[in-house]
Amino acid sequence: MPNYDRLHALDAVRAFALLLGVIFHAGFSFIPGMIPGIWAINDSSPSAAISVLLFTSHIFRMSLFFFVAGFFARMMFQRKGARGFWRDRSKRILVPLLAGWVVIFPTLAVVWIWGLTKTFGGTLPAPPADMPPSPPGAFPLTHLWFLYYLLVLYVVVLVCRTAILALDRNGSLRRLADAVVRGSVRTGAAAVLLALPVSLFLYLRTDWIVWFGIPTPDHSVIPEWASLVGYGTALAFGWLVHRQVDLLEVWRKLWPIHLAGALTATALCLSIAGVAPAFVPAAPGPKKLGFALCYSLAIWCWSFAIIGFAMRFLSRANETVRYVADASYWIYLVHLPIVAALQVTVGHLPWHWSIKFAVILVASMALLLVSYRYLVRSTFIGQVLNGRRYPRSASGPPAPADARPGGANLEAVAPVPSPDDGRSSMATLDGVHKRYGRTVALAGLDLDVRRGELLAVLGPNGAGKSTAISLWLGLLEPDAGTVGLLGGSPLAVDNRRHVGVMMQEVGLTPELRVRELIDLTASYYSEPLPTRQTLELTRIEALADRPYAKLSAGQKRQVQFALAICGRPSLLFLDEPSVGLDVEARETMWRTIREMIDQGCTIVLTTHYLEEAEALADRVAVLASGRLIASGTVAQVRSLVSRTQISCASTLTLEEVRSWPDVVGVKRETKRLQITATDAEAVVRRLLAADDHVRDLEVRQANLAEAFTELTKEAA
Amino acid sequence: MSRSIVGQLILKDLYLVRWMIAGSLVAGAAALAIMPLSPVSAYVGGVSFICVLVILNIILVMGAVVQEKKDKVLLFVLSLPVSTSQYVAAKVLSNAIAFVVPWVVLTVAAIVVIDMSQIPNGILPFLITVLGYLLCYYCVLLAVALITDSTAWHSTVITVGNVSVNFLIPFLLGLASVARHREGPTAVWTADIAAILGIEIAAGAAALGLAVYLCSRRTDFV
Repeated sequence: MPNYDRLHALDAVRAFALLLGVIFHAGFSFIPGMIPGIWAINDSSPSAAISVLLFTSHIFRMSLFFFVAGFFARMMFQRKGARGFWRDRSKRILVPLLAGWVVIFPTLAVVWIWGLTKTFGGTLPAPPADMPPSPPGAFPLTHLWFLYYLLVLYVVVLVCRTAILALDRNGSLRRLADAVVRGSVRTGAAAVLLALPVSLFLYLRTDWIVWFGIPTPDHSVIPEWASLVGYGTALAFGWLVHRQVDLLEVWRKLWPIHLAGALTATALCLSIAGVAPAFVPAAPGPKKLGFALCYSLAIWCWSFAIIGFAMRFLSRANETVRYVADASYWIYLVHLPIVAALQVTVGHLPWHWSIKFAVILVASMALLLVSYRYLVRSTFIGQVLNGRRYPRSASGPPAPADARPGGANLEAVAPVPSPDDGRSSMATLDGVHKRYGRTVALAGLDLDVRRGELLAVLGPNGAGKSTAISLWLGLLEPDAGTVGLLGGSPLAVDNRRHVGVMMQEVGLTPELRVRELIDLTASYYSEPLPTRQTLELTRIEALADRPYAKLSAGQKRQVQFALAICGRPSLLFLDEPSVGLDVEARETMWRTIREMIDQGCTIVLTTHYLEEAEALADRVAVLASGRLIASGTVAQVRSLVSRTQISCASTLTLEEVRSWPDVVGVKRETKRLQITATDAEAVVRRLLAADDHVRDLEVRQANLAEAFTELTKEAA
Repeated sequence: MSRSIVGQLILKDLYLVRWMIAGSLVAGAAALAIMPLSPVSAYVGGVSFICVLVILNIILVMGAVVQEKKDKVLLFVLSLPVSTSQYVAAKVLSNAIAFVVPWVVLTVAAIVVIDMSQIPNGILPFLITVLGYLLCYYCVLLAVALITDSTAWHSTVITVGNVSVNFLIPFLLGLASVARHREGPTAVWTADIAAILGIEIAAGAAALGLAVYLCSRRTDFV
C-alpha cells in the first residue's frame, strides 16, 4: 500500500513555489540592465548574483506550482465530484481573484506611480509616441494571473476529461495514457517528453524575450498560447500523475539525477541568454531552438528534482512547514505591493545589494506573516482561503490542503480527528439493558472502548454483540442505561461522521455499482478518502464498475468493508467482517485493519473466528447472555481459564485417563490422546508412570478458543 | 452538510427510478395520444392513463421504500452519518418528486389534449378530481410504507386504493354538478368539485405529515 503521508511533501512543494515567487519579485529591482519603467524601480545596486538566482527560480516555480495544482485538482475532483469541485474552486480561486484584484491593483498602481516618479526624477514619463495599441482583451491581471489561468485550465482539463470518458468507454485510452506516464517517469524520459510541446510553442513565439522563459500572461484575459501550453502541460501532467500516486516514489529515488540535469540545463541556458536579460526578441535559428529545448528541459528537471527532494526529506508532517504552507497562499496573494513599496523605499539608498535584498525579504516576510496571523488565520479570510478558521488561542491542526489553490486534502488514510480527541473512551455502554419482547439481549452491560485499541467483542450467538453495536450506532435505544459515542450521543450526526461501520446483516442498493456506492457513502463524511484510494486499500479495483447485486457474498463483504473505511473514521465498528471471505481477502482486510490501528483508528470487532481476535485484538471482551463475563488482553483472558492441553501418543484407553483426578476431558484424535487438565504437572507425572511408551508429549496452555468455550459454558 | 446529505439521498433515489419515470411519461403520453381518436379510444386511453399513474405509484413506493426496508438498506443508511429525520425527509421528497413530476407533466398534457381535441372541456374538473385522487392515494401509500413494515397494511392500502377508483369514477359522474357540465364546451369548477379536491389535497398532506412525524420519533430500527 502506498504511504500517503508523503503528500505532506507536495504541500511543502506548493508552498515553496509560491514563496519563491515572493523572492523573485523581491529581487526584480536588482536585475542588471533593466529598462527603466518596466518595474516600479531599478535599484541603484544591481546584482548579477540575484539575477542568476531569479533566472533559475523563474524557470520552474510556476510550472511546479501548476503541476501540484493539477495533482490536487484531481484528488479533489475524485473526492467532491464536479459540483463540489467547482463550488470549492469558486470560493478559493475565483473569489480571491476578484476580491484580491480590486484591492491589489489600485495599491500596486499607487506604489508603481511612486516608484516611477522617483525613477524619473519627480515626474512621470510620458507614454512613448509609437506605443502600440492595446491588444484585444487587454487587462492588467497583475500577479494574480495564475488564479485566472488555474480556472481556465480547470475548464480545459474537465472538458477534455468529459470528452475522453465519452469516447473511451472501455478505458483503453486511459490505460494507454497511464502506461505512457508510468513508462516515461520510470525511465526518466518524462522530462524530455514534457519539454517538447513547451519548447515548440516558445520557439514559435516571435516576440519571445528568452531570459524570462514562459511569458507571464498578466496583461490580457485572452490566454496566450505559450503560457497556456506551458502551464497547461504541467497541470495536466499533475492530474495524470495523481492517477498513479506511487510514481512520486520514483522521483524520490531519482532526485539527485534530476538535479544534475537541472543544473546542467540551467547552465546551458545562462550561457546562451546571459546573466542579465536582453530586451530583444530572439531571432529564429538553432540558438533560439537550443535555448527553448534547454529551458523546457530545465523546467521539468528542476520540478522533478524538487518534488523528489521533498518526498525524500519532507514527507512527514511538520507543524512549522504546515503553518508556512497554510500562510503561503495569503503571502503570495498580497506580497507584491509590500515588496514593491520596500524596493522603492530602499532603491536609491547607497547600501550593498545584499543588505537591501535581505531587508526587503525579511521586512516583507515579517509583515506578511504577521498579517496572516492576525488578519487571516482566524478570520473569514482564512475561511475563504484555507477552508477554515483556526482558533486564536491555539495553533490548531493543519488546514485541509484543498484550501489552497489547486489543493486537496493531504491527510490521506489517517482518521479525521474526532470531536472528543483527548478522551480515553471512544464509546461506552453503562449499565445498558435491552430486551426484544421477552428476550433479554443485554442485561446491565458495562463496556468501554479505549482510544486507539482494537477491542474484540466475543460471544456465542445471541450474546448481545450486534445489539451493542446497534446501540452505539443509534439504531436502537436502550431500555435502561447510558450509551456514549465520542463523548456524546450516538444520535448526534456530527459524532457519527467520525464512525465507520460494517454491519453483519445490512443490504446495499443492489442496482448501484461499487464505485457509485463508495462515492455516495463517502459523500456523507466531511473528509473522506478518494474513491480510487478506497478501492486500492481494499483491493477491489476490479469490482469498481460492477453492480452490487452481481457480486458474490465474499465480494459484497469486501465492498461493505470499503464503505466502512471510506470516511476515514476514527472509530470503526466491524461486525463479523471476515465471514465469507477467502484467505487472500481476509489477509488484505487484516492488513488494512492493522494499518488503520497504526494510524490511530479505534476498532471494535465482533467475530466468531477466534484466531482473528487472537491475531488482531489488543483487548478482548467476552459476552454471554447479554453480560460481560471476561475482559482483558488475549493472554489475560486465556489465563482466566486454568486449563492445560496435554497431547501425546499413548496406548492408554480413554476411560482409564478420564477416571484420573484433575482430568477435565479426554479424546483421541489421529491416534493421539488430547487431555484437558486442571493440574498439568500431576497428570503428566501419572501419564508417564502409567505408560512407558508415551511419545511426542506436548503441554500447552488453553488457547483463546478453548478459554472462550469454557467461559461461555460456565456463564450459561 | 445536512442539506447536502438530504440532497445526496434524493439524487440517489431519483437515479434509481429514472427509467421508471421516463417509462411512465412515455406510456402516459401514448395513452393520451390515442384519446382523441374516437370515443372508444378515449375510454381506452383514459383507463390506460389512470393505470399508468397507479402502477407508477405502487412500483415507486414498493421499490424505494418497502423493498429498501426488506433488504435492510435502511439499516445501512442509518448506520452512516444520516439522521432519521434526514432520511425521512429525503424519502418523502424524492418520492414526491418521482411521482409528482410525471403526474404534473401528464396532467398538463391531458389538459392540453382535451383542450385541443374534440373532447369537451367540461370533462376537465372530473379528470382533475380523479387525478387528485391518484395523488392522494400515492401520498397515503407512501405514508403507510414509511410508517409500517407490515406487508398486510401495504396490501390493504393498495387494494383499497385501487378498488376505490371504481367507486370514485361513478360517484363523480353521478354528481349533479359534474353531470350538468361534463359535455359542455367549458370547464365549470363547482363547489362540490372544489371540496373534493380540497379533501384529496388535505388527506394527502396529512398522511405525509403524519408519516414524517412518526418516523422522526422512531428510535429502534433493528
